[in-house]
Amino acid sequence: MKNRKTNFIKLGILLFGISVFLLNCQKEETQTLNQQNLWKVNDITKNELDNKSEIKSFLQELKTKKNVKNTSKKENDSSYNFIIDYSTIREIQVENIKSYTFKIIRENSSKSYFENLVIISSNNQIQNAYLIKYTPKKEIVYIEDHNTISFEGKVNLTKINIANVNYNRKSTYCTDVWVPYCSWDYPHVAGLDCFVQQAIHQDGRIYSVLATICEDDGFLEPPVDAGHGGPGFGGGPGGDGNAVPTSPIGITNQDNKCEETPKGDLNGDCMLDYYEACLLNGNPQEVCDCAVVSNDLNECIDDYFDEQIFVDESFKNNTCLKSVYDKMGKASKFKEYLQNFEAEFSVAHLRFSSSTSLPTNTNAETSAPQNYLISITFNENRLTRPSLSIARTMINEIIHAEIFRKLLSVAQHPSIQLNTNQVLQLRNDYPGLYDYYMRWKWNVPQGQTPSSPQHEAMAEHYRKIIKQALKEFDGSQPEQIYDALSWTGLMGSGTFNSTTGLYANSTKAWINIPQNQRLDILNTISLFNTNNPKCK
Amino acid sequence: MKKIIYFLILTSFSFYAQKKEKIVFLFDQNKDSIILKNNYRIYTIGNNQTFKYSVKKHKEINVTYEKIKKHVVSTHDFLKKNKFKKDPKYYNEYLFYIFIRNNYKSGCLVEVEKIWLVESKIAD
Repeated sequence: MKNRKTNFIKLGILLFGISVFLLNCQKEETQTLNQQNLWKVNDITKNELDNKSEIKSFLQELKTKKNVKNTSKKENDSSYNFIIDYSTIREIQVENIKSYTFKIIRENSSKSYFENLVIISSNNQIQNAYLIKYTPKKEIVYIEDHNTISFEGKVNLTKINIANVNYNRKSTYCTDVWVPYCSWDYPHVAGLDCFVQQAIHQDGRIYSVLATICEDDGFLEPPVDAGHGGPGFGGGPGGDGNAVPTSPIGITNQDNKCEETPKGDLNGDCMLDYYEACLLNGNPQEVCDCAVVSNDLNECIDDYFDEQIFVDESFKNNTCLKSVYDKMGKASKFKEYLQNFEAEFSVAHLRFSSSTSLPTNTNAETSAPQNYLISITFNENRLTRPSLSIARTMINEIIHAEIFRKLLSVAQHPSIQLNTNQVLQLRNDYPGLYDYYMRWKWNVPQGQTPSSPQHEAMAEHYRKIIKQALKEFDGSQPEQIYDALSWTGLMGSGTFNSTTGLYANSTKAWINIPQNQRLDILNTISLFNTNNPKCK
Repeated sequence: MKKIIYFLILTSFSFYAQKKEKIVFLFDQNKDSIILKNNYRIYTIGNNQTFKYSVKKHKEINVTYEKIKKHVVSTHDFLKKNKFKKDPKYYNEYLFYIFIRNNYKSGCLVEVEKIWLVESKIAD
């Protein structure tokens, strides 16, 4: 009995020991990772920036002060007269310090230098803010793959008095600035991709350059033996907590020539002007048009996004689409779907537009949400059909948008990326959608390419709704027409077989229709489209 | 004394019962893909299995293949192993990693989470 007790004790101690050992292993691994991730660099979006309340309110205050200053006649007014280019927002984190770097654009910017606004935040509080002016000594090369530039040259700094946003010009101010460089190929300012590659390869390609920058003096250049210090960051930023971590954003070209046109450069001047930067940042054309006139991008965005449904000029200017849309808006079924996007707290925005560049056999397409925006684009080359047929396309697309809206409400993310718990929530909230996505997308056996889950679900369950909407749009047709039109777009995809009426990837509901009926439906649609006046 | 011993043993077993199984998928540069975003990456591997690496949430580390090989499994075998579990909850029983080989001996081990994506656009 005594031996048994002793064995139990030994076993207990052994198991406890193993547990402690395993926990220690995990901890050691984390420490290694933390050291490697001393610098964390991300290019974040404007929406992500807006979630950082301290930065948002600081920028708002800066804007307010700028406006106040603009009306006065003080000497330094011109310093405030800039626009922030949100197309690249670089977030650099070093321990608990975060810096946000933006390119700023002035109305009369010189091509011989560029300027950045750098905001330093710690524990969700603004610590410092600077305007940094970079005047290159050597020609700047834009490295497209890394979305970054080479830079060597003079640097000037202006500190912003954050307590009462103002420019501190009373005394000469100096500070240390850490800039990450990448040694890959040839030394250049480290872009986001360099950090990703460093994380994967651990080859010491990233190193940081420390420079003391004053209001009227400073120089930044990569050292000759850069990046050969082995893994990690040669001369990393950990030593001096006061140094400003930043990364120059901007491209200038003194000769106004470029080998490759920068992305978004519409007028080919090798630079992004305010309007181009606005569009490149993903803002709708209306917002950028407004911003060019008012000089206040944020206000234009606010005004634009007060609306939940956007109808682009391309759509409005198309008489066929506009007339069908207006008439559909009076039909209760279509209106009901549209209203889900009109609600004040709708999880998604909806945008209608038209294009001439969609594939020739596509009537329209609905894009999954990007930044909460679902886009419906009509093919202008596929509008030589009767209005009822265009209305059918419109109701189909709004149903797709509604399904995406439901998925987005579960995803809790600007786009639809569901984690395990959200998939389980989808099963509880929308069991039908869960079932169709599981069967037709997420649990598809290897090698199979079935029809889309939304088309499968719509062919089976939404055709009554489509028919009702069509009748509300134009009640003058026989039942057979509504029934046939409700199948359009829901038969499947891939190669079409005119003998069987089936597609390579036909929907299950379409396959279940007897062949003679399928052919009748196809014939009815064809005759309807041919024999009725086209949409104008 | 006996109670303390039983308590110790039960605690230890319960600790092990809660521990998630580690699964490592090998990234095939010829077939698999990565989508790079600002704060995350999406890996599509095997039969359209999608996994997300979030900069703020996950870790990545350089390791030798030797160290992780006991956890390596193909997506096909993983799904086969769980084919009777219809409920996706079973993904919570695992910790997922993707191993991207640098050379024949070592590579980058990326901690990821399983995600489900929808089609990027639907054409009619």
